[in-house]
Amino acid sequence: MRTYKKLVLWGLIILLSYLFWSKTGVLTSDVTIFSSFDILPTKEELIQQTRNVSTAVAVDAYDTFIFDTTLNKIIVQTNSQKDNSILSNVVKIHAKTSAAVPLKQLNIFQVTINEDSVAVKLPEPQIITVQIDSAFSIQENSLKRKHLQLSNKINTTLELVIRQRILERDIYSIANNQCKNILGNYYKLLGFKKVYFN
Amino acid sequence: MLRCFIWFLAFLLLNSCTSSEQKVKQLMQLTSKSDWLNSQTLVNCTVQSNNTANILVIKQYAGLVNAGIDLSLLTPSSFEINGKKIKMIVPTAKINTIYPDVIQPIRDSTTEVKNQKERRIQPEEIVNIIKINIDSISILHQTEQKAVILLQQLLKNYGYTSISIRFTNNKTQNKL
Repeated sequence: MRTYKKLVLWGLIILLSYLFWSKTGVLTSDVTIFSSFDILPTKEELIQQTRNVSTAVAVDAYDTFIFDTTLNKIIVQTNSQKDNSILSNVVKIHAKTSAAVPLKQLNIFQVTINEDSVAVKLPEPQIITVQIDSAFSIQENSLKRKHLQLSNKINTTLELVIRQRILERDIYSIANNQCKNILGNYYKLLGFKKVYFN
Repeated sequence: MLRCFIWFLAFLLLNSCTSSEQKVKQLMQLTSKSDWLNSQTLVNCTVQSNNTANILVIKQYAGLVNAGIDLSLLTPSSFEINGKKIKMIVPTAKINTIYPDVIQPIRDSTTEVKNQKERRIQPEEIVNIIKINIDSISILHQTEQKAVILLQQLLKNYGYTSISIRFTNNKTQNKL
């Protein structure tokens, strides 16, 4: 009878400890929570993870400028009198552009893992989106402003102008640096000691 | 035997506390990368006005806005871990610095009017004008969205399957 009680008690202890440890995540965490800092991801896993964070490395650019829709050019210097006939075709454009290193294009040949170090050959940055948020006539009072519908031809010209303007501001270099900063730190948090970008 | 059982329960309790603390301690290494979730935004502002001579004056200012989430503000209470579930409270994004673009010439129509007289604009003036004209809400929102993507991916890699990231303004950003 005494042995039987002991057996029941030990059974209870084992059951309780199992339930307790599984609840606290010790048994059910598939070892990853504790070992993920020590076990480094494989090359395939790293590429997949890098692709998943591709949208997070983008650099945005907010641009506003005054554009003459008749002359098809930006007005940067004008000393003309405020004449309704001259200014009727002048609009203020608000645009948003994004540029990023296209991490989704990353392939197995661009990543080298050697023990605790990783080297990545990043693709060249590119402009992802060019978006004209609004176009207003500069003559109108700010409270009465209405978004103008621009013709396809003007929109095309504007897109080229916007691209040119952000390229002048060296957006590719900024996108490259941002990508290296984010990925470099991300890889180190995954457990890599050394990170190199080519 | 009963004494043995009580000691065993105490051991279990101690062990569970240690493992939870250990996880938080490991996650706290995020704080060492305080500028990790910074995001750069290029800004080109155009300010138009009419001067006393009723001449249209157009001025352009450019700069680089650095916004980010300061992970050094994370504390052990920022994490709530329950097995594979994690809830994380992250500080809201804020604009850290505005770098005025002083290398690029400031395109200012008044220079033409004033017989090409060069007008020097102080970097502080550019920063102030950018501060007034930027859409800071959009910039901060974008920064937070990017941070959520990166943190979720990282926490997933650490083995968590249910991830909830909340910013200190009490808005739940995303849940897996």
